[in-house]
Amino acid sequence: MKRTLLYLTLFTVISMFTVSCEPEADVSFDQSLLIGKWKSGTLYYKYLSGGTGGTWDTADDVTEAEAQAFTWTLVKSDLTHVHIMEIGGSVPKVYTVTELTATSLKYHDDFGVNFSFTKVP
Amino acid sequence: MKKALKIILLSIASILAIILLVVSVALWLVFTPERLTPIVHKQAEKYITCQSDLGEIELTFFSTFPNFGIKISNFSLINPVAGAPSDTLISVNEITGIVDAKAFWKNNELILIGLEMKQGTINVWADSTGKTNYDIFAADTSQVPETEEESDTISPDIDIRKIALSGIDISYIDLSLKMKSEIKDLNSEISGMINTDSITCKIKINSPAVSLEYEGEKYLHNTSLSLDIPLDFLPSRQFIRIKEGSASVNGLELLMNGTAENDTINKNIITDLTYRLESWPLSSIIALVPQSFNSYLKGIEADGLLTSQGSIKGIMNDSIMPMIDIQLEMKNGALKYSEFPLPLHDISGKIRLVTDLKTDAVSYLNIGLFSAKTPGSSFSTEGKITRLFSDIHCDLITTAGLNLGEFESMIPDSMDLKVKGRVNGKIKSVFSMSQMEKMQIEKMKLSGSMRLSDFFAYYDSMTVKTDKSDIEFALPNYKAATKNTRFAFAKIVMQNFTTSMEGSYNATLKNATLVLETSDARDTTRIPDLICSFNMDSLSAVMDTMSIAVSKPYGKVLISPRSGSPDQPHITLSYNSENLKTAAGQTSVAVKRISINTDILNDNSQKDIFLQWMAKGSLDVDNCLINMSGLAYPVKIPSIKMNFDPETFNIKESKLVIDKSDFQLTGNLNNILSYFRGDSILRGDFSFVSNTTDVLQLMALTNGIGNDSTKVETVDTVAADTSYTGPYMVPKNIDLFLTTNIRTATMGIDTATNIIGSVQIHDGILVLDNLSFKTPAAKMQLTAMYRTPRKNHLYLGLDYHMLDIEIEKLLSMIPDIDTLMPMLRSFRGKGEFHIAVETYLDSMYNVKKSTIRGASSIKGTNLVLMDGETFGEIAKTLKFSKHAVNKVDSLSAEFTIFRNEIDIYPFLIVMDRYKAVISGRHNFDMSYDYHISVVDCPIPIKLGVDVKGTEEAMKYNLAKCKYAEFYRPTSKNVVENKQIELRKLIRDALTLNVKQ
Repeated sequence: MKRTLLYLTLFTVISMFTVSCEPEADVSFDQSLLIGKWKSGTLYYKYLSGGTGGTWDTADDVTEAEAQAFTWTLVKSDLTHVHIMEIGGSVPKVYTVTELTATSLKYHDDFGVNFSFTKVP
Repeated sequence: MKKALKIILLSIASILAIILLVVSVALWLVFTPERLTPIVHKQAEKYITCQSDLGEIELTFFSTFPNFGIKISNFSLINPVAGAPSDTLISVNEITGIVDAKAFWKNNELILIGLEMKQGTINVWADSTGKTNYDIFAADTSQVPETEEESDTISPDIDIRKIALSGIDISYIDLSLKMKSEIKDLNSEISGMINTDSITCKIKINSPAVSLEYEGEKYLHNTSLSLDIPLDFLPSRQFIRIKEGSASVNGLELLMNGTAENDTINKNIITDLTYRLESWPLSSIIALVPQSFNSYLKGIEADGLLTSQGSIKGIMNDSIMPMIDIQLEMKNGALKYSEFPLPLHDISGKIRLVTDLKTDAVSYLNIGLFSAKTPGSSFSTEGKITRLFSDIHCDLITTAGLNLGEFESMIPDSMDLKVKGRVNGKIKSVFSMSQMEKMQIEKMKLSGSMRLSDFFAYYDSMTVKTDKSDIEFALPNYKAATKNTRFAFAKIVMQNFTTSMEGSYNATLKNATLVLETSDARDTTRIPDLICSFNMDSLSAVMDTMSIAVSKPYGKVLISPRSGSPDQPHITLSYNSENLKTAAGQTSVAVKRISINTDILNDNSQKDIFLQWMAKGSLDVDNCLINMSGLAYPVKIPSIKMNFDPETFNIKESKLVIDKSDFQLTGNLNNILSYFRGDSILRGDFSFVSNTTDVLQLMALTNGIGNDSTKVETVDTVAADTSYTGPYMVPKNIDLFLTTNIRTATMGIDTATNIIGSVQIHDGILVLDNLSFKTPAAKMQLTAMYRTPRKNHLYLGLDYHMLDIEIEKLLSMIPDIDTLMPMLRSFRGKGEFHIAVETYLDSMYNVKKSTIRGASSIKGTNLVLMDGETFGEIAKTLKFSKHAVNKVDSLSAEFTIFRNEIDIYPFLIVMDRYKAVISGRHNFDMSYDYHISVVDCPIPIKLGVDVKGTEEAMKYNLAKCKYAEFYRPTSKNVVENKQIELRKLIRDALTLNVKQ
């Protein structure tokens, strides 16, 4: 019985901790701002208007013409990339946009990894 | 009658006796020396200006019968002339003048018709101004006798009965002519008849020692000389006839017969002469050669017997020469020449020269048979030489048996050439000198055969040996197989033939036969036509560590100029052999039977080597066995049969066996020529069939091939290695399709069956397309793609599906999955696994991490969790029910790989009374960030735990239960729905290609 009480107390405390933050408030971004080429260091993303795009990293000697394709959607602040594999299959990546202007794009993923891009001509 | 005859004879004898008596009385009583001597003295002083000494003079009759003779003893003429070696012109013991008795009887004329001299000397001398010691006749008195002599010359007959010299030494010196001659012990006799238009005489001369010097050159020295020449002379026609005359010099007798006439009207000399000489010793002939010419004979020792006969017949003038027919025969000849190291002996030959010294049509030299021998060799030649005065034409047959070792001393030391053995052969040659000079071999006719026996040749470290080889050849080739190979023919039959080079190679042929036919190879504007047939019992060769041995190779090679491009070859090859064995180092190939038939066209205007050599034909190989140092097992090829042409490569049959593995490859490669010309895509369609493939054995077999220990290098070192030519680039414009069907493939203890799929190369892309197979662990399907857009940007993609697989075996087969999903280590049981991953590689095959993409799905039910002991601990801690079993009811998880991130999408684990949702991220640096939501447990609360860090520094934190409603469809929130949607997207895409 003592042991059961101990578990109960423990879970009560934990429950208090776990019931904490509310989800972030919904924020919408203008997806037309996303269209174009974005750069972060040697990493590039290019968003096209049809929901397609490509990404490449010049550090690995990849050119824009050799960019790997992805599709993208921006719903409110949820930016989803679905990277299309030539061999078949896809790799979805979901980010939360925190800033999208004509020159700046910032987002992070669920694991707290932040990304920051600037628009390039 | 008898009585009358007796009376007549007695009367004649009586008359003769009376005449003899009268003559004897006259000789002994009337014409005594005492009476004759003063008369002759007086006459001599009348005609001779020099001192003359006359001994006793007597009249002879019986010794000069039927004429009288005046015999003078101790006759001499003394005429001292300044410079002359002797003041005596003539000094003889006896001189007899024979007087025409008839003229003396009728006309009281003293006419000499004979003259005899015995035992004495005659010295004839003339100085350089022409002054002589024989100008002894009185000038005044000569006028009258000349008239008388003229009258004598027109007298009807002059009978010279005998002019004889006996034991006379003659010295003749003429300084103006620079001539000096000495004749010793001369015995001569001249007799004849001179009439109005003919002179008939017989000349006999004999001297044991004749010397002749002219212009300081001694032409004869104490040479024995004899002449016996009967001749007729017709002065009016200037005609001379020699009747069986002979001349002899040192015993070399020359027999002469015939006529010669000087036709002054037509200015012709008309000849009809024959001669003959018999067995002249060459040494004697050479001894007659003047000293100044001896330099030409220096070092020459010749012997033998020369016989000759011939004739000179016909007209000779400024434009015409008579026909000369000379026949020479040599017997028992011998020759030594200091410049030629081999003495010749048994020289014999018959030569006949027929010529007018001008006209080719009638002139020729016939060599009956000329032969000679050296101590170890012999040769002979016969034939005919014509066109002697224009382009000499030879038609000869030469036979030789040469001991080559004899001629070794003739080879310059600088050549480093040694030759031994025998050559026996016969060569027939028909050629002209102009052809020889211009090397117009195509116009010559040369044929023959030769045999090399125990032949050995060494030249500059190269050796050739044969115990017996027969060579036949013919120029031109009368039995040509084609009209273009009429130039030459050769057939070589070798019993044992070996060639080698020190430190390099050694090759042996046994019982080999080569037959060659060719056109003229000297024409550099065109490839020669050549047909070579070969057939031999065996061929073996060794070079360094390489060797080849072939049994019974035979075949044919035909080379001809290509139609329209004669400078380029068209080659047809037919080759067959048994038991071919070749080795290079520790690699060896053995073939039981091989047959190649090919037709090759050369086009050297093409840059590409393939286009330069267009080949079509077939290859047929039986029972080939290959051993390579890098291969643990020999490679057996039971058979290969293929046809090929410039456009198509057709493998009709090819079987390969490596220990337990066997393969068969059949199919076609098309558009080869068009591809190399850039006109078409190369297309191939092959079928690869194997009953058994031992994968591990093959991997072990090929592991390290082409590499050695020094190639275990860093990337930088490799980059610096200039020999590295870059990655494999999939060719473009090539479309190859390989259908595979492997019945059983073993990999260690694992076995895969029914491996069916295809390998494609399509325009720069290499694809293993839907390769499906079964293993005891799973049914599997693999698609792989390799694309090479550029050297430093190579695409590699894999699409791998394993259905109904044991998870434990999955981890052992693909250990990298343990890195991606470490929790799988805790499960055992069957599931299905799908993974698609792709990346780009640099030229050194290093992964470009920014390009990695991957997605995987794993699904399983009733999985056994960990081992029983661990389960016990967990069950005890979490107070599992007593009925709890060591199983996970279900597991379904997806994860993705993007660059260096591995995202594990939330998945549910159900165990006893607990349900947990797990998600998280693993990075390639082995850091991770996981969340575990306990969504169902005995206590009605939602519990979350975050696990972060690395394996060395792991942190646990209580957290909000992120997936409290994840598997409760009625109450899922938006985020959870999104995750489920993505998982579906991943799984649907992955399983799209799975064959049912």
